[in-house]
Amino acid sequence: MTLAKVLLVDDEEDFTNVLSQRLIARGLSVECAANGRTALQKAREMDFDIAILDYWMPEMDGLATLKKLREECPHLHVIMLTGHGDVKSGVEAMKQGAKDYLEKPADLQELLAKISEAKSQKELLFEQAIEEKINKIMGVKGW
Amino acid sequence: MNEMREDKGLAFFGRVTASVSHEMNNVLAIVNELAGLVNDLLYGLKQGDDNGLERLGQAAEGIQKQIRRGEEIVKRMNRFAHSVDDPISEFDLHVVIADMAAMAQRRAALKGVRFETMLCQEPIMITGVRFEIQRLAFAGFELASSALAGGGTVSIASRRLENLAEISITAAAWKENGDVLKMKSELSADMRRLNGTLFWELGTAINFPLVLSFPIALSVEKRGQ
Repeated sequence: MTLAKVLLVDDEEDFTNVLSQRLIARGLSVECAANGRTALQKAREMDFDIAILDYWMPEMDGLATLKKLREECPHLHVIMLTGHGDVKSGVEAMKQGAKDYLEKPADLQELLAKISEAKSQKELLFEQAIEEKINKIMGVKGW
Repeated sequence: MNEMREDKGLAFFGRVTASVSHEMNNVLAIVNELAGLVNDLLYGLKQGDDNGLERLGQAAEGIQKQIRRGEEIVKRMNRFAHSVDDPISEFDLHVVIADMAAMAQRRAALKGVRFETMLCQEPIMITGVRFEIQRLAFAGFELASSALAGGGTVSIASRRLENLAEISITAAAWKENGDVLKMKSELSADMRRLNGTLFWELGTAINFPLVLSFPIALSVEKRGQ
């Protein structure tokens, strides 16, 4: 399995700066964005496996960013970061299409496990899509 | 009437504490990551990687920075929590306004609004109902933030004349949609209801009515000597 490409989105730049250093040290490829607009722009320009989104962000909040990302990059898996004890926001994010959520401050091992799980799911879906395409072509050709 | 006042007070208290706890949670999240980074770097040093030494110092500075930020948040929250200790107390209007602006800033930032405070240096000592002036100032900040639909800057300024202290909350490109008009009407009604009951100079029964004009100017005017 190739290492995950992560888009980390939070207006707390000290947070994204340190967390990205720790994820990069574990071999992940990480890009940071300080708001939803920049995140969308980066998601259009680069291919990410997972986006980690803060729920509470200025201008375009986590849910609005999630909605836009789902429209423009449907294969991108999103993990939402919510406030401590804020289960309601996490559940709402999952209803809106996030794969999972984590409460801040997050445990790195838990975050890595969720990234790995999301990456595996994405690869599995990709393989299934390829297999379906091959089967379709074989069916058309009568092989 | 008293029940309505208590409900509004509780709702205000809830909004402020939610905003402050979110801010504090961000501090903890950064400290948590910095502590993790320190562990990562220590592990590297044990493995003979000396490159981490400088970054270890930076991580320690980062933790100190967040601790200072956390201290400010806790101090503000503590002053706010004690504002209900005495129904009437003497306080510096500047400190109250600066505290409320800092506590309202996070909610405003979610709307893309930034506060710019230009408070005069001289303290404005007032004797009155601190909790209510905090609530009105917070409502004023929320109203101005909502009126800046597309984001922008809210300017918070103060001026002191002989018998008048005025806090003005102004925003360029003020837009009055349905929600803003509702907030404006509620704030005006609150001001009318509270006017004349907010400020007293203890012992001499001098009344300091609060004056409201729009965009927003909260004025404390000394009258009736």
